[in-house]
Amino acid sequence: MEILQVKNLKKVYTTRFGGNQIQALTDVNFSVESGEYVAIMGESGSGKTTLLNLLASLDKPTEGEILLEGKPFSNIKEKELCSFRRDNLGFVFQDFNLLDTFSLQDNIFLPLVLQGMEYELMLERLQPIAQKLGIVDILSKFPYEVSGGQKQRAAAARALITYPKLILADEPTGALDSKAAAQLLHIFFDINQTGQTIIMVTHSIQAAKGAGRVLFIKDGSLFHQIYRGDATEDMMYHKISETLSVLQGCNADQQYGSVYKKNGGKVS
Amino acid sequence: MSKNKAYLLPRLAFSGIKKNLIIYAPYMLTMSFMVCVLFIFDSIARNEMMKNLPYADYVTMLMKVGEVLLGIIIAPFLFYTNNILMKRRKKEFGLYSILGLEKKHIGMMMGFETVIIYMMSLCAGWIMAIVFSKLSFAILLRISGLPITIDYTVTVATFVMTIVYFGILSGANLLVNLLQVSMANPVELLYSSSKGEKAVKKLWVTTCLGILFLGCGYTIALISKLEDGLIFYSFFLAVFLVVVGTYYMFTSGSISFLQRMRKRVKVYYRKENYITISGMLYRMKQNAASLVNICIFGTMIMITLICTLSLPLGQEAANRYNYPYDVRYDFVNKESSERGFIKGAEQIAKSEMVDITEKVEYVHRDFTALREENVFNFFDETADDGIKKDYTDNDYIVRMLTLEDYNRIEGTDVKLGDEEVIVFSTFIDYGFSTIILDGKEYKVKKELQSLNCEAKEKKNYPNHFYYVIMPEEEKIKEIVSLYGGSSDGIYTVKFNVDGEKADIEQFVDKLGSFGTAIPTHYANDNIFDYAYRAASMNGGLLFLGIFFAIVFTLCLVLIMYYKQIAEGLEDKQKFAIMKQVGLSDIEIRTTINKQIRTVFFLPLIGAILHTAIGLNMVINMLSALHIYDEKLIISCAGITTVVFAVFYGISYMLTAKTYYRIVR
Repeated sequence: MEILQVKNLKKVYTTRFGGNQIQALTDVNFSVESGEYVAIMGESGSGKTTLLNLLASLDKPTEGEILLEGKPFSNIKEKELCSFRRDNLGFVFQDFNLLDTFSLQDNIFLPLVLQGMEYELMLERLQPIAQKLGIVDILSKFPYEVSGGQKQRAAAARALITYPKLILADEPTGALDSKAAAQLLHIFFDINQTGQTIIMVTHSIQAAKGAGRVLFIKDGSLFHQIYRGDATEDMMYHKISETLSVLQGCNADQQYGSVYKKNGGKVS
Repeated sequence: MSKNKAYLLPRLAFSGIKKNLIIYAPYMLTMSFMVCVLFIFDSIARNEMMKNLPYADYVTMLMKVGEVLLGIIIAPFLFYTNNILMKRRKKEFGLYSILGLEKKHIGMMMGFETVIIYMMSLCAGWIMAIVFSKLSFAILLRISGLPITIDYTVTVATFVMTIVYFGILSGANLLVNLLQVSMANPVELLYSSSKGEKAVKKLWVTTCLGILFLGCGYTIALISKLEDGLIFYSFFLAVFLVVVGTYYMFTSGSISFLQRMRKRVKVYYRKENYITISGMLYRMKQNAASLVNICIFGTMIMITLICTLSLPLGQEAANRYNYPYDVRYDFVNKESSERGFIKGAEQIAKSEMVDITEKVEYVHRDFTALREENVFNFFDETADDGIKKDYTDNDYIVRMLTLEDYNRIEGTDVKLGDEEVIVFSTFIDYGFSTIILDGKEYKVKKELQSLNCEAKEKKNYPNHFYYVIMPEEEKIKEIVSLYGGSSDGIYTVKFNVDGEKADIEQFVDKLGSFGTAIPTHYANDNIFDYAYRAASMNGGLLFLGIFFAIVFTLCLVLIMYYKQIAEGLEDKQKFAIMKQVGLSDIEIRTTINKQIRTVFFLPLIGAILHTAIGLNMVINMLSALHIYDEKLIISCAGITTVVFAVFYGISYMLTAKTYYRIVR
């Protein structure tokens, strides 16, 4: 079943003065099946973040349509947008976006409290998720008391706890060391195995190689996509880096590969 | 220092101020206003012409007191605001440090900044003072009833005073800042603003301390009375206790309350409370200080305004209390030579075109005695018995009048038996049915509640008289001399004067030279001189009160403003996150409103409570100035509270705009 459909998506930003137009997305078409794990890759300025913001209903497209389970975003009233977001979408951000005023547990509860759920029900939901993400022992701690990896796992728990139709992750490993990043990606892989749909925007080949499909964006439009199929993660890694080299219009070994090694697994 | 640095550091300092103008501009404005006010006080206190003018000495003295008091109050305030400013800038200094500026260079840059702020505030303050001082001086002269012809003068000493005083304050602030920067490493500086708050430990201890301090302060405020003689000490003690108590209560009291709320799952995990409670809990400790300051400044503004309003409004009544009749002349009662005074006075009145209206004359004989219940004992300073030790509490003046004089004063025809007396107390009622004088018991036929020639005021502190009216003059003489008083007594004339103001002044002058020339003249006084003295003192107090209220108000608004900025910057990211998690703009706005309202009206409630409790002290202290009209003071307090609450609300809304602008 197609959970998400993106049709002829176009986004034009107009600068406030002078009326300069910047075309962030020209014409994007793709769809995501229920239970898929999709990574979106592209250079800085390619339109990744714009696309994610549109998928998150945080911004509106200039033209085109996004449909979640066949229901177009444009049909949702402005007032309902917020509740739509918290009922259907889960977010994981690069810089965690946890609130220092809440303990980790209360951070995770935030969307449920906004939904008006009973405390007992929230606890019931939390148990399995916290177990799976390995944060049971630190639930009462505050964000400034735990490590980046723990913060990101708490953020993932916050995204999962609403049982969202779709999880949107924006560079989730961007602020993590390689060990924490690997841990988080493992978790993403696991939760995807349970049927959770995930869309992740990333720079990192390391992060993208676990996905079932990788979309490449260049200059505001879809450039290429790779299906994983039966390929191993290593093969996937190779395919992605090759595509990226083509994307950049140069030889992977000469340029991309060397930069990649220097940065310890992340492409900047 | 190389040429480049010599050029760079002042530029960095200047741009540092310019970039942070949103926080520095109000700071400089407040500081320059303080310069201005101190300048005005000082220049008036140093005015040479004032020193030679009758009644102006009160004003000069009051200005000196005001100057010192204000100086004491603004010093901690400037330290406090400096601290807030530094907190905001630590990150910037950390960045400079990482970019390669050495600590001594940062220190130099901070030094430049301090000097720039200091000089700009000083100059702005001087300009303000020069513009407003003449006007405010004229207002002072006007409300003090002093001749407006006095020239306003400025001496170099006043300039030097502001330069030195604010120089010392700025220097001390700089020193504190330098210490902070030199002790921290760059990374600490860089992240100091995003550090989480440590949980407050031993909450119940501080809560108990808060209740204790506040309770003691309140108790002192409620039980102290003017006649204890310690009210001014008690006032400062109560202020100290209440300030400390408020601090503890606002921090731990509110934190433990919020923590209890957080523990109540059903209450806490609800959309409308969740964000508010956690947000308040998070920032309570750091914000308690500013809330306490707002609360204290609010209380100071209200108390100042209540006194400032009550004084001029109650002055007329106070004058009348001291002078039931306009003019009073006392003569030693020796036969009838001085009775010619009235005739003389009437002649002078005629020539000066004024009328002598209501007039009373009587002879009174006084003695001092120690009262125990209804027994009046001899007052003997050399005696060494049990009675002597309470002598400060129990010594009263007994003033004896004849029944004949009494009937004349009151226009009555009361009759008394041999063993009967009429009693009148100038303070609390006498209250006994008999009175024992010289071991002999007399029946109190009646205790008067009013007497034409003397005012009664239960709370009056200095004038403790018992009037005892007896039928026989010989008997009175006997008793008075037994107690060591003069059996001759004093012959008193009191009367009112009607006429043009200038004529009355002429009359009083001429009467003075006539009356004092009479050989038996003992004392004289009149309400007009007293009114001048009172006006100059009250005018000075009023002037101080107004300026103090303005300065306190500025301080309050500044703290409020900084609080809004600090919270706005903190909350900006928080609300961005909530929006992504699914909180709508409307919900965010309601949350913000709820949170701010709770936090912001706490100090207002605190200030009103403090003021209400402190009102007892205000009433007692004002009674030292013979303002006994409690209703007047309470209505002034009511008006002040309403005005202050409205003002508070308005300044809250204005500063809240800054908050919304930042958060959005």
